[in-house]
Amino acid sequence: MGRYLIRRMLFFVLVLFVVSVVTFIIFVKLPSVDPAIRAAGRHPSPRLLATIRHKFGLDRPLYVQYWNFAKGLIPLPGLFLNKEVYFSYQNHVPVSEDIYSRLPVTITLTVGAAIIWLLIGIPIGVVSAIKPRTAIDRAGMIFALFGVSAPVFWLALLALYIFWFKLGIAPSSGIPPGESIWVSILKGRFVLPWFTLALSTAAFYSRMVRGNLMEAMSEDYIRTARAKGLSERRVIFKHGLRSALTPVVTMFGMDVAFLLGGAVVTETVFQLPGIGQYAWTAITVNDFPPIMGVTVLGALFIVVANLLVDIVYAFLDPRVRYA
Amino acid sequence: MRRYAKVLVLAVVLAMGAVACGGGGGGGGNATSSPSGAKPQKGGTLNIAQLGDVTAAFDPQKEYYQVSFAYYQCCLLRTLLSYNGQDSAHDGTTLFPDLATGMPEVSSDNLTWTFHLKQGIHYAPPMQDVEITAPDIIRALYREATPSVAAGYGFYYNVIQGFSDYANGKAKTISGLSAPDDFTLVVKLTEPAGDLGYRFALPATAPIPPSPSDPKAVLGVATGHDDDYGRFLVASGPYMFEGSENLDFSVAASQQKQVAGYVPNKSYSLVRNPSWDPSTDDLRPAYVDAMQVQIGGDESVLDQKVEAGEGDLVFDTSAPEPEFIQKFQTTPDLKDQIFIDPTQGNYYATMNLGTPPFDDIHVRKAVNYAIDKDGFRRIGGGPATAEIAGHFVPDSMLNNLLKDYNPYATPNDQGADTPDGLNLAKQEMAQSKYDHNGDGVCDDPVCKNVLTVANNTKTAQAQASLIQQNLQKIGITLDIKSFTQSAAYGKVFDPKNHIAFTTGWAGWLKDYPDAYTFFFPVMYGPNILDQYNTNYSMVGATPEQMKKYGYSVTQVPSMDAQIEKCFPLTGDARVQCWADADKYLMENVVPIIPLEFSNNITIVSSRITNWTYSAYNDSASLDYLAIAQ
Amino acid sequence: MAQTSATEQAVQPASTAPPGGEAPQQIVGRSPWDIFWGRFRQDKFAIGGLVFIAFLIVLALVAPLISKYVVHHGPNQLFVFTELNEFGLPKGPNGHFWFGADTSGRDLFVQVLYGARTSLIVAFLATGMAMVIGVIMGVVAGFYRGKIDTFVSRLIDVVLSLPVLLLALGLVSACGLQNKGCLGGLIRPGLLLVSMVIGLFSWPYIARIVRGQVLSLREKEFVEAARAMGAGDGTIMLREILPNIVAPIIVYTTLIIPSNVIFEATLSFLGIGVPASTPSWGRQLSDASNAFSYAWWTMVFPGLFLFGTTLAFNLVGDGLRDAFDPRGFVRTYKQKEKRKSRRKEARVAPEAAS
Repeated sequence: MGRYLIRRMLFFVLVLFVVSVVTFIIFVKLPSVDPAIRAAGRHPSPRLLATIRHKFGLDRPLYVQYWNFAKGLIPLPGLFLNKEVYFSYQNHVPVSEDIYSRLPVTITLTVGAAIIWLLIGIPIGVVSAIKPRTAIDRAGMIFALFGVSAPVFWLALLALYIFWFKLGIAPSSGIPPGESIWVSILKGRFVLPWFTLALSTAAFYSRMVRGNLMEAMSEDYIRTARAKGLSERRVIFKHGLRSALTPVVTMFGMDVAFLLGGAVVTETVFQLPGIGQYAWTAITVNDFPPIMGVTVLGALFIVVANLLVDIVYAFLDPRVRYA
Repeated sequence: MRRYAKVLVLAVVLAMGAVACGGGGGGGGNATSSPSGAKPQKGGTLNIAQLGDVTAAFDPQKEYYQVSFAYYQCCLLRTLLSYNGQDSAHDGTTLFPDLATGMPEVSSDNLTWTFHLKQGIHYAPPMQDVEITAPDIIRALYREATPSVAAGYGFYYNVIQGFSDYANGKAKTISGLSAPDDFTLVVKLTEPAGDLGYRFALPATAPIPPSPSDPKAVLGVATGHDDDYGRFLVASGPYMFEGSENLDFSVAASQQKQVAGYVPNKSYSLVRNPSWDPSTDDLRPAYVDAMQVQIGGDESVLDQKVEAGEGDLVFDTSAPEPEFIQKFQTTPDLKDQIFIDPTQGNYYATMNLGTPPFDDIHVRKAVNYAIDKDGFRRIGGGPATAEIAGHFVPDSMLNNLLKDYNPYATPNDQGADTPDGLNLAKQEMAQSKYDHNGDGVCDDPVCKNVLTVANNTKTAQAQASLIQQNLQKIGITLDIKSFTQSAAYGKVFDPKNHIAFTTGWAGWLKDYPDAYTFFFPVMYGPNILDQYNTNYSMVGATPEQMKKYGYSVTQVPSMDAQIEKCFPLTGDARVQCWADADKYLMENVVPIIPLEFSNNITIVSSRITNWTYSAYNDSASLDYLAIAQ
Repeated sequence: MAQTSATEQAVQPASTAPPGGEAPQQIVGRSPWDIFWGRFRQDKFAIGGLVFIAFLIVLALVAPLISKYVVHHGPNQLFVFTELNEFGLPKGPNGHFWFGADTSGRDLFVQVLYGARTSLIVAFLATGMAMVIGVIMGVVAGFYRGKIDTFVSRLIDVVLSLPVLLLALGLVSACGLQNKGCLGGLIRPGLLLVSMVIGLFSWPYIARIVRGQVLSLREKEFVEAARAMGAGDGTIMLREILPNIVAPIIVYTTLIIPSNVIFEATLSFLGIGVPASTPSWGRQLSDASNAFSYAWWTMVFPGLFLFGTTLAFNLVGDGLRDAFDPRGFVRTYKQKEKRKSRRKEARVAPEAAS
């Protein structure tokens, strides 16, 4: 286990390194407009431009610039997203301040959607698997097929059009200022985003659960369990589902991590002030530090989730041992 | 965001002015209009929606943006001179004394300006015991000149003796600024500037209090806040950010906690400033008790919320979606809730004098005839959104001297989309050196694939296609490259890019109600810069400059003499001078195709009882809006 | 989802056996492709999907002809005075403009037709690139194992850990905003750029599957035999291994097409996909996002086409997978790769477009 952890940590560092270098190259080496010119206002004197370049660190060699940013990615207090480097070139607001204030929205969105996709996806998959080739199975699988085929942004527009604009039963998009996250949840502001975001994953999970469960039910140990005289319900839920759900649990970790890094499209369409919307706004004006912050934070979530998933997997599947 | 979000990111263009004539589109038009007819009552909270945050986190020396200027003028900051927040028919573009006791005294050589300050005016908490004095104004100008602050528009103050020397580190003080006593400010200039008064109504000159812990600090309470003074702003107007009283300037800057009422990119909360004394201020009625501003959202969604009463108005550089304009204008119940007023801003297409075929004035005139301005406007939302422009500077800034002046008029302003318009364009093209066979259609290779930059919003794209279709009829084909707003500006700002044509997505808005703010940045040769060049057409560039930027055409027309002639003038003579310059521009230089003089369109919720349009701010007067109790 | 209908499939050949009279014939001459086709055509959904895709391809191909001879105008031609009212609002579907006008007064029908071209071109280009990179990486890793395998596997893990959408947005906007593209003109704005970016992020899914297959195949007797006969590594990979993994490659390639279609639409929806003058369903829907309350057709028609396309590719992909009898390869793959294969099944980054 020790060696495994070390290997994992090294991988952790590798991913962060690659992500930060790639992000750095994309957004610093290939920008369309010099951030100093943009920050300088109209009619800047050369001296003013030089001052701003110096302030942004743009006058230093590239590797020094990179190192300054990289230091801010080390997850230690005082270094992580430090204010000296990680501030918006637009308005000088520290990136950490913006990210932390937006994190609750993204977490609410992700957790709510995750609960929904589990509650929809797994039951449909189970029912389809234990009643294959029936009407209920077909309906479930048609739902799944539609779900995986519909683009999120289109679903979001349709949902807004139907439930807010036409029927008036859902609130419009956005969160008013000063409204706490709990009030927003109670007022149902997250309902449409949750369902929109959850649909495709729910559809995918139902297909996966169905396939896994059907395969599990044909395994020898199930036959053994049946032969022992266990009730069919017990066989399915105790033995079949356990092995069918193992990959679901692990995949679930990755999916949640992905979304915690910012559900850009959902947050943009529903105007939720989360991390994804923050990143997207920064990208449109090529505001590098926030982009770097969010991108690496996203990668961090994914790597941590990977780690957690491996540990959980070891618990769920006794055959797996990490050496 | 529609086309009107012209300055959201770059803050290229700013502020506002007067409209001598009210002749906007369909709706409002009255200075003050009260749907219920009741007298405005004090109190209540105004709910404002904004698409995006201001551009420099409310730092008064940096902000160079229409929306932040409006908040400063109406609510947060007082300046020596200011405006009354009404439309141009009610002196909305006239300067009034604000912190000053009267208009400045100007010496006979026009080089020394003396302002006298009112006594007994105090700052908002926590500086409620500090009186506003002349050195506080000087402090603000030092901050504007301090390089590490990276201020927004220091160029307006370069006429002050020693200002640019200080900014460039050549002098330790600004010699032209002095305060003989606490309530007298003397400003010495290096050359006459008839419009200096306007520049002392800009937020960069709003007083900054001295630091309680270090009275000698040059930047006062803004010391140590080069990048974030907006979040520590000490207000002087009728409102302040909520929680201002908790600011503590006695500790080191790095330990101070920023004001709670401004959360960048999210919200503002403005409350009454207890230090503000209405008896010293006859420019701002300040009806509501508080303003809540929510940032973020799509125009159409925000419009919908206003209609539903969830918000009171959208306050941004955008216009309501055409759908809402139609609905509010045509529904009897809603007619009182839409207001259309002329701004002092325009939209125009530009031709680069250094890139063939636009080095030939006949080609430029032909293009002026060919473009379908009416179609262009319809794509943008129809007649409510703008007046069709016949020349460069908005009519209201020229006292309507050029109201009926349109040297390239075509039937219904539809250009080459009408047979007569096309004929006019062809007749002009036939005289050019690029139409070899004289049939009115350019047949020279330089007319093919003309490098054109467009904004990639859907409206700008459609307008670019329309212009493309129009110009095709006279043989000019455009090679349109599309970019996001900020990247598109980035392209045209660099004269080395040789952008030959822009399709009308770029506009200009006054900084203050004087045509100087149009001609100087856009048409003045000495103002051509390596970076951030707003003279896209290269009007007045010298042969050396043209060579330096790699142009093959090195002789381009100039109108520097016509512009410089107006600098020292004041009053009606100045306006007449600008009008003459505009005519000269349209007949002898022709670097642009004027398309629209924009309107401001605002829809408000039904509980707003006292609509007033600020001609200076080119937007609603937030301090005049009142709420039905 | 690889196993979705594995059990179901196992029964299919029997349940669809043709009448007895033809049986002898079949015993004689059924190649694997015959078997495949026999199964595939039983899948009505898959056939439906295939028909729709064929229809779409034809539409995309003849779009210029339709625009020239049927409706007599191009996708970007404006009808400012006939199709927009005085407030600039578009008119709905009518005899002249079958899908109505878009918010700029263009014919939405022609726009949608041309949008099909964009979607299909990007989907095929991107998927093709992903396939080429994925197959090469997968075959090399699986065949050589050891350090090379470790390297490729780590690379796959790293790419799968990237915040795909953010980086894609960054790449497209960084490179798409320069006239000359970026990296010295190597990457130019346009369809190719978008395809490359999408391909760059979707190859690991193919590489993973291929690697698993190759790992098991390389131990098989016929590979041993080839080696004994003196065949080199290259020959073995090309001649012996590649032909044996064609089926899974086709299946998984088909299955990532719909993801890539959505990916392109998402980029365009956010305003940084294909150039603005190129009609794209994503961009049309982005325009509709401000207009849906008064011009439902701008949301419905491009959306239905986009949805139909992804659905069709998903149906065909499912059908292909079932027809190739995935049970065999999924099994071997799973056994050899028990731990690594979890959670990666056939899923293609759906979060990328969330």
